[in-house]
Amino acid sequence: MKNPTQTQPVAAPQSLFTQRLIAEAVRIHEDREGRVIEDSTAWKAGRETAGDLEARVLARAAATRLGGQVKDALQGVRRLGTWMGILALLLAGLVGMGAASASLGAPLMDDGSRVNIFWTLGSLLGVQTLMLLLWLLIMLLLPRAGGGLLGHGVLGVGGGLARWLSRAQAHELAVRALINLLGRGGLARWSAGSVTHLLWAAFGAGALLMCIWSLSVRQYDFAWGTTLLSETHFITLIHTLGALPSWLGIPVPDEALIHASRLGVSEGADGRIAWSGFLLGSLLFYGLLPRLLLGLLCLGLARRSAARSRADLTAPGYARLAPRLQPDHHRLGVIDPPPASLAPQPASQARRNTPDATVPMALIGFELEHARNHWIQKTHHARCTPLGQVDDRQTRRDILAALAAQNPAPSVVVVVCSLARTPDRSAEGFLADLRSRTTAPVWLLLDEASVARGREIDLDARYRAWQDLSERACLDRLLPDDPARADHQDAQVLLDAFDHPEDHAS
Amino acid sequence: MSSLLQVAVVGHTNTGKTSLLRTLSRDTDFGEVCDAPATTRHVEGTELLVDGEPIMALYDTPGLEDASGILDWLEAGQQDRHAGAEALERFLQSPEANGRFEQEAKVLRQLRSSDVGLYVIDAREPVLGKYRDELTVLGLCARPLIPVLNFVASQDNREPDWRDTLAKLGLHAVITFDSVVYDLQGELRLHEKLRSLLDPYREPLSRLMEARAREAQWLERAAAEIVADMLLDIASCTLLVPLDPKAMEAGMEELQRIVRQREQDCVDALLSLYRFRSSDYVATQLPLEDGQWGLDLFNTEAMRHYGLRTSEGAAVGGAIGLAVDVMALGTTLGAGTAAGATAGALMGNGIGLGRRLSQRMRGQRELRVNHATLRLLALRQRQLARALSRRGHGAEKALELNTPTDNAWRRGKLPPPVRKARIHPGWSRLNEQADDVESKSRGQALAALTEQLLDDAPPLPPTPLP
Repeated sequence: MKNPTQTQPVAAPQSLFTQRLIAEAVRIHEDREGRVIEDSTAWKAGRETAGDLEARVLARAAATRLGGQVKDALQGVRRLGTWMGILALLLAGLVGMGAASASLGAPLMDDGSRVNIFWTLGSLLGVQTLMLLLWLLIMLLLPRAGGGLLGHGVLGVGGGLARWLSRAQAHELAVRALINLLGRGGLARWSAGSVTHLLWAAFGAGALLMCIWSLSVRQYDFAWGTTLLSETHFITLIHTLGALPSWLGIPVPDEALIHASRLGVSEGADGRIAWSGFLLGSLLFYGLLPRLLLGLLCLGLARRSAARSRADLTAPGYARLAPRLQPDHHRLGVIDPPPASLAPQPASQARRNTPDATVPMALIGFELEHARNHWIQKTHHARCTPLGQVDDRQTRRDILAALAAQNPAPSVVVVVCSLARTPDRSAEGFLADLRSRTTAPVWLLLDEASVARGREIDLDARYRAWQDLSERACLDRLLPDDPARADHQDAQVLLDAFDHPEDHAS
Repeated sequence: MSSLLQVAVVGHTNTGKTSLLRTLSRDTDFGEVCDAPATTRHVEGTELLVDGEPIMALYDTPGLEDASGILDWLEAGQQDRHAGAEALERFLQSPEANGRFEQEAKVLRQLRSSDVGLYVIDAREPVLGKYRDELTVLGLCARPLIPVLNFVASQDNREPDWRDTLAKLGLHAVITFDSVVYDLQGELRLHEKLRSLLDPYREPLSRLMEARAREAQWLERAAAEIVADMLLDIASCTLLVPLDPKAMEAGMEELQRIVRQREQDCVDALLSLYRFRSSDYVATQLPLEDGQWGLDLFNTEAMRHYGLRTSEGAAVGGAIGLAVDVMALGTTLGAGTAAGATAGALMGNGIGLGRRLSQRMRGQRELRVNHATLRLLALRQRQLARALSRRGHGAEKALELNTPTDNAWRRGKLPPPVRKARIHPGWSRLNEQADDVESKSRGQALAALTEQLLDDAPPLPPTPLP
């Protein structure tokens, strides 16, 4: 079995099955240990294998130390299996020979040379025909469970024996894995089926050989008889059974001979050749050949399903390997690095903190949530003049123009911004621009805390971001002091702030 | 690999570009995500692999913040307003592109060298003029743009407004994809859109879509199997303790410890399966904190949270969630009715009377978890698995799990595989004599229970098609 052809593509399905056996053995071991084998070379081998998850799992298992041991052990297990198979076939053959000699040697009445043909046929073919019918029935009715009791039993006993024989860890795992895989789905059905049929074929072969031997060296007179049934039934049965052998040239008894061989009709009738042909032909065509063909068919199907069976990748033991074996991304790293530092902004002086209370404030809405219905649109207060809403480039220009047109210049320019907005450089640019175009102090009023809260925005962090922006844009005041209170319904907050400039947080 | 599909993820600052990338690449650690402006200041790339082969390269870019400024700048130097590509070239060559507009220039350069751009939009935002300006500037790159509406799972999103505006700008192929609430269909639609736009990449994109669909199915099944495995282990777990009360108490604690650990292993396995780290759950919300359940398994609160009756298999000696095999033959604990209730509950399990009797003779009794605990375990692990499957890798908040609305596992009999596990101590890895873990019967029970867990998952809400 140690031949170099194993690596050739011809042996590919077989070796794939072996790989699955190894992976299964490693999985059983890891399951028992409760943790995966940490073998960095094995993980690497798995990750670097091209193909799907199964290919990677198999490659990783094969690359572990245990995997190597199991692979060696598998050869031993295979050899053991082969020997056990041969032994079982020999045993079955011996049983068949025993059955044949018992049925041929069974004294009919007075002497040992007369044989009841139906008794012999029944004892050699009856049970196994019954079993074959049972097998067919199970295969048809329970296709998932079928496979033959004998095969399942032999596989079970063989597995137990092999486990008992192989005490080394790797051997034990190999046997366990083999039992697991052979016991799964279609493979179980066909492997058990092939064992069943091949054993019966061996039985049939043994019986046939024994019959040939006995008929060759001993002389028998064939007879038949019945108490309950009618003669015609027997004649029809013999003709039917004999049709196939006679069609292939094997001598079978004709009607006259059948009548002549009836018990008590005549003594020492000739035509022994014909009766022997009938017996041997029946054994061959109804005992040995069907079983042999079915056995070979099952063997082929078992091989096919062995090649097709895949590792059960959703099983927890395999699933846990997936995240480590199958990278689904590969980072390319930073392509275009961030600037070392942002350009420093020129510092600017804070403007007068005590604005003239007689001159109205200018109110500007900046990218507000519900701009049209916002309270600053509805403010018609003597001390506040709404200038409008900033939304895009055009409105920016309009607002700046409106501000420049204010006469007298407003005491304070208040820009109302939303806490739901992320402060960006565009806002910063606008505010800085605005401040450079007016001599009045520019205040920033943060509003719409409830909108921001509704989006689960961290108000404190957002407030700090706006605070940083107002510092960079050199704004003169940021309202309110507490982000939680940034829900305004009217301009009162501004008037309060206007009247209490000392509240101003630096 | 010049034939690899190059995709630039662009958009305003703080719209979830990095989150989108994390979710698409299944990479929780990619970049930095924070609810603040300009968290990403560089361009960073990642490749999506299928079976180890790269399918597309995604590039995360800094946020566009001052598109209006660029338009102003372009207008100020107005000569060739309509020659988009030339104007862009002029801009990128200018000193401003390395100064004031450094961030924007990075984005435009990256988009220009990519095949397609995903324009990420925070759908909760009103359609402001600055976003239209951004689209104008991005349009100069002459690359197809696919608008991706993020945060559409949020209640107050303005998806219709956005669709309307984008349609007016000629962008009809709009995609909704929430980077926090993962939706396989959304992801598939995104790739489908890319595929229809970029015919040369049809084949790799089809492969990617197939792989994503397959992977989702696989994940769902694997997660169910992990939960089923845990349930079988715990259902068949029995602890033999001597009869004296002290040993009983120690035994109960030991059993609770073992079972807690097994549940934690299951949580870890699920997190690892969905490629999340336990440390993703540092937030304050229950129930998963630091990758652990906030509510202890053996806590009546946890039972009530899932609407379970605590009386099923009543507790003895103050240990909640455990069943003690107290045979009616001369109870030494004197636990009275509670003990009687437990014994009754166990009788109902059909746990071999013969075995219990023989153990009783040997002066030992069996400890095991009760039905209610198994129900609780099944409910919360199933819920965790489902929540993980719906969670984008861009999500930063802790998981929050509500009381399930369906009755599966809460009422009626436990599923047959679990009941069968009760009488097979050999099935449990937690027992010392765990010689049937690999047995065929356990394998069949595991498969049946997995099917059941998959079956009683209510169908996911249908995703509205655009």
